[in-house]
Amino acid sequence: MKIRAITALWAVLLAVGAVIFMSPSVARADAQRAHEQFLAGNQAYEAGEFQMAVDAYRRALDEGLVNSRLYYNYGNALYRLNRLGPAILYYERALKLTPHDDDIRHNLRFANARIVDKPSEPASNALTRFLWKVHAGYSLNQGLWASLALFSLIFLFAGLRTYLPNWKALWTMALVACLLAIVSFVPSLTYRIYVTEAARHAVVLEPTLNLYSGPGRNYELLSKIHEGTKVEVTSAKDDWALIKLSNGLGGYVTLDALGRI
Amino acid sequence: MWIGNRRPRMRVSRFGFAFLAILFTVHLASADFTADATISTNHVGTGEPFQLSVQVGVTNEDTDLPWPIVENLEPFTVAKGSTTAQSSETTIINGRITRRNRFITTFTYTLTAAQPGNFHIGPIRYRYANSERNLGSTTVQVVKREPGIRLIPSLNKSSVFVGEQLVYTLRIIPGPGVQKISRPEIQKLIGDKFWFQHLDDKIDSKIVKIGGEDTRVFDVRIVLFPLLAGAVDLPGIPVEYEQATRTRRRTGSVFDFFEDDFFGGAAQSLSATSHGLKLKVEPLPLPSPDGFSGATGNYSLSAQVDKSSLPSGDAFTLTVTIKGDGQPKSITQPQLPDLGDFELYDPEVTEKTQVQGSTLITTKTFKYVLVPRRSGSRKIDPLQFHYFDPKKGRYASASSETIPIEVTPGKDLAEPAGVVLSQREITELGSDIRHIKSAGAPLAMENGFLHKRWGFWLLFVFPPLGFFALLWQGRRRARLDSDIGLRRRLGAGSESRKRLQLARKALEGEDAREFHRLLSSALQGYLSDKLVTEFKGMTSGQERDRLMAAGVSENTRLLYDKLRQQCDFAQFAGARFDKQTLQKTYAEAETVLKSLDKEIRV
Repeated sequence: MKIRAITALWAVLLAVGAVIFMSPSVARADAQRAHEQFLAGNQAYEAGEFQMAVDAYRRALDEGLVNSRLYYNYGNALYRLNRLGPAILYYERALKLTPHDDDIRHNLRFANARIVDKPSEPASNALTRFLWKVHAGYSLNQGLWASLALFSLIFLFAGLRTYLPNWKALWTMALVACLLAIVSFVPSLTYRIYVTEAARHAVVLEPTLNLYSGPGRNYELLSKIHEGTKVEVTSAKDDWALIKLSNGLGGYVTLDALGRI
Repeated sequence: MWIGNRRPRMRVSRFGFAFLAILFTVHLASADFTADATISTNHVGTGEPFQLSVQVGVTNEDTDLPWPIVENLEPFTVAKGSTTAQSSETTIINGRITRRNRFITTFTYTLTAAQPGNFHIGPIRYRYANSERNLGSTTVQVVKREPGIRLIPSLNKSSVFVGEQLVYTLRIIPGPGVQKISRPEIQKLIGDKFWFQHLDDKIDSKIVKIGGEDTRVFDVRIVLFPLLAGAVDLPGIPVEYEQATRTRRRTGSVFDFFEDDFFGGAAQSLSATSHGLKLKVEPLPLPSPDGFSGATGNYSLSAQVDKSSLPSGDAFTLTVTIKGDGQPKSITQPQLPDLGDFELYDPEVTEKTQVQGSTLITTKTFKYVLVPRRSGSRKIDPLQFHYFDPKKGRYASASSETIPIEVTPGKDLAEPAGVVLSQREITELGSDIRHIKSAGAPLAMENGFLHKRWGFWLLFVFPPLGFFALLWQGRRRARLDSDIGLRRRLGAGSESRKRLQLARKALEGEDAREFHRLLSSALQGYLSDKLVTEFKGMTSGQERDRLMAAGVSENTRLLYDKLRQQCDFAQFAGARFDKQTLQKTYAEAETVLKSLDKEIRV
């Protein structure tokens, strides 16, 4: 009986593991081809052949590969060709995957410093900068694993308080520490999931983009925004998107001039 | 009456008008008593309670003071009650201490008028110890009030430019019996069309003249900044409130009035919606100047440094402050002039908003750290901030003064400092982006976010399961520790299997005597543990009776008996058995143990 129960338990665990780890990834052969193109792109970049590098990275992307290193290098090659909008778009995409990567953050800041419509600087102090640094210091998956680990430890320590009562004070302290940790951590993680799922940001890809008061060129021209500007897409219909800028201003723009992050 | 969660601390303030207007006071002092009469207000609405109080002070405690005589109370519903307080007064005259107690009784009439009109109350008299005092009279004006709330929305401008500040005021006029008004939620109604902010953290009531009458109102003021041009229909704003239902008991005692909720505790949640408003939003003219960030309003800019003279290589701070009444987020980093040999670091930005009258003012401060590289007379040219002035209808710019800086010889900087890049390095010196990432490990898919996979969330089931398993195991262990019989019963099977394993070894060694001894031990040991009865030393008959009592079938009993006899025969009579017979006996022992396990009822 016991052996059968243990076998069943293992089967369940293996099934869960398979579901978790079998990602909808590209096939092994496609991944291999993408990696080869990535290497070719790196070689071309090192040789100063930036257009060739862009083409090679593009082919790697066409294999369906989603990877922050690929996005970052592609962004660099685009930047070298002075294509600021697409470069910023791919830096943003890379940063979404690995928000703690210092190189990506640096190059994104650098590229943003060169665009016409500079984003308004958020008000900040030492505390908010520290909290933001902690928040940006882990990837979403790392955060999810950490939350599972904390959740497991909470139940483990709660169980040990009953199972090994001689160490009750120790288990209680550990339990409280884990509870505090998870309570502090969950808001950051929830916001990260929200940003991944709900927030719809895009980057302007064209040198100049007209901002209209309605979804059409016959509406009033409100303003112009420029390549590389990051905008929030409030809604999109047909070929037009209602966007909001970081300074709160908004209007309609043509959808094909935006690259969704 | 309060808005949101602000609840008055003193219950008396539930009676509508907070101020206590002393209309008339008659203070009569005599050797025996003093008497005062006060009224909370002489201007009320129908259904609004107000209070008439008569305070009587006597020197001796008298628990049976008579009530005042108040005439002309017929138009009012009256609730009344009294309280008594004691105070003492100590005087020292020529070293002689005199202590005098005073008992003050307050007679309170809570009056409510159902009909409007001017009502005369009084004369009010007080009679005590064969003495009567006239405390005066007064007139109360009662105006008609309807229950529920009235909403009057207004805008301070009917036409504005995109991004220009305007104030939306929603005036709430509560009627009688309105207990609680919730702060209106406007996010969903206008959130897409405007950037907005409430002007007041707390909303207090105020008295204004409406139709010639003093009326208590609440003004909810919201600052709006239109985001899009065109004709805008501002929708009506719904406001939720609680209306008390009139079910108050009328026992005539003022204490019942305070104990219950205002009108007896029952309240109905209701909602009223204001009417909509129209607004015209003009677009900003084109072309806009370079560097214009969408700021619409009136702005000022100032710049100052903390040191006007310093050695090269030392840092100083340039503080740029932009202040204006436009949308707070539209104040972006100002365009910096050519800073020559100055190292410039990214600014520290702070933002503060404050309300001045009916205007929201934003002050944004940018603190830049600059380091002069070489000595000499330097200057910081005027900084500029472009905005659209809606009053003048054209673009304007706010500028600072030129700031001279005297740099004395110090440690000259040969190279740009640090990894923190300044704007100047980026735009002029051609500082570069960081290099590409080398190949390293093969590229892997990174979009497999775990939160999208149900299998990951399934893992969260296991910790609680493990917790309950630990809980169950802990309780089981505690039970076994306290019940030896149970522990023997539960461990009977594993113990017999161990003994059978030993017998198996003896079988393989073809030691028939030892094999039978161990087999007998396994069988008897199992039964001893399972039935918590010692089988060793029992006769065959006793064993049979015990097995029968435990519910063991006849077939199993016979097989057990046969095996036991064979074991005794082999051990004590020295009978010999070949290996095949021993294997068969072993198999039979296994069968018997399985059958016993199934059949024995404990």
